[in-house]
Amino acid sequence: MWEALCEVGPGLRPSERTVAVPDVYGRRHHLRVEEGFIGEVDGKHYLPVGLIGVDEAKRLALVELPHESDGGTNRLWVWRENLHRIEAPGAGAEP
Amino acid sequence: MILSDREIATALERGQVRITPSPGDLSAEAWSSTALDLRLDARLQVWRPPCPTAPRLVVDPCDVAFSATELASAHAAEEDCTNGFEVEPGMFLLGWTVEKLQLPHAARIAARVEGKSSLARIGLGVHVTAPTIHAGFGFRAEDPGFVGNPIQLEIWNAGPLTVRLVKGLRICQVIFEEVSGTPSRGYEGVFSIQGPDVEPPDAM
Repeated sequence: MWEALCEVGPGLRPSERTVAVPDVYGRRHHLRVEEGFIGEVDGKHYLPVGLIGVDEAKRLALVELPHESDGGTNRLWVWRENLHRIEAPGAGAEP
Repeated sequence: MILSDREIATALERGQVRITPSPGDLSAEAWSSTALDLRLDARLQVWRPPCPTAPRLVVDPCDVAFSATELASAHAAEEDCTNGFEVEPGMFLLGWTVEKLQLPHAARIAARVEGKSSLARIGLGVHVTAPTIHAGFGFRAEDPGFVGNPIQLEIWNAGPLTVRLVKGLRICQVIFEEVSGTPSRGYEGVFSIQGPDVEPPDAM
């Protein structure tokens, strides 16, 4: 399982948060998720994503958001350095 | 292929679908032959039209940085329907289900949230053309304690009469469908593909 770096703000309900996931173009994709869905590592917040593929040469990763962003995006390119791997049984290969 | 009530119950037993709190066994009121009713939670987010004297507001959905939360903070008000909330004709609001849903990718089950005919007959809709709940919804493989997410409903009153919503109302139904194959998001390998030409961060 993988997580992508994100910024976190308030949601529409107490148990909800709005996250902004930056892509490689510097755009921020907003979506609302339950608070418990967001991970934290070393003071940084991460959103669980599906890892679709990687471009090793350019250090990029194509990820899928847990659901469609407010702007309509499902999949986006992020910097590989912005990904964090969660150790879990059966986790995927290194990107 | 749509799952029958017995197949949904089996999927719940096997953990292929998780609903919290549990809908109960097949004798519970929530069940029908091919769907399961879910209930409305108390919190509502009610969209209000802009003040007539305010500058004209145009929402740009093409803007990738568009944030519905920011828009709602300016144009929606929070309401609680524990003791009832009256939805006037033409009103639009967001609501959420009491039940939280989880669909692990590997289970290869997706779902759709749909309205109930009893409410549709009086003009009440529960989604605006976006009923799909994708495989993987509310799932965190590394967190077995995470029970999933509630389903957000886009509620609107297209009828001429005021409709009263109360927490616990069976407001929508979920239809489960089998996914043919495992989605790439849940695939345990990673595809090697070519990304866009962009300057790496340390070159910016």
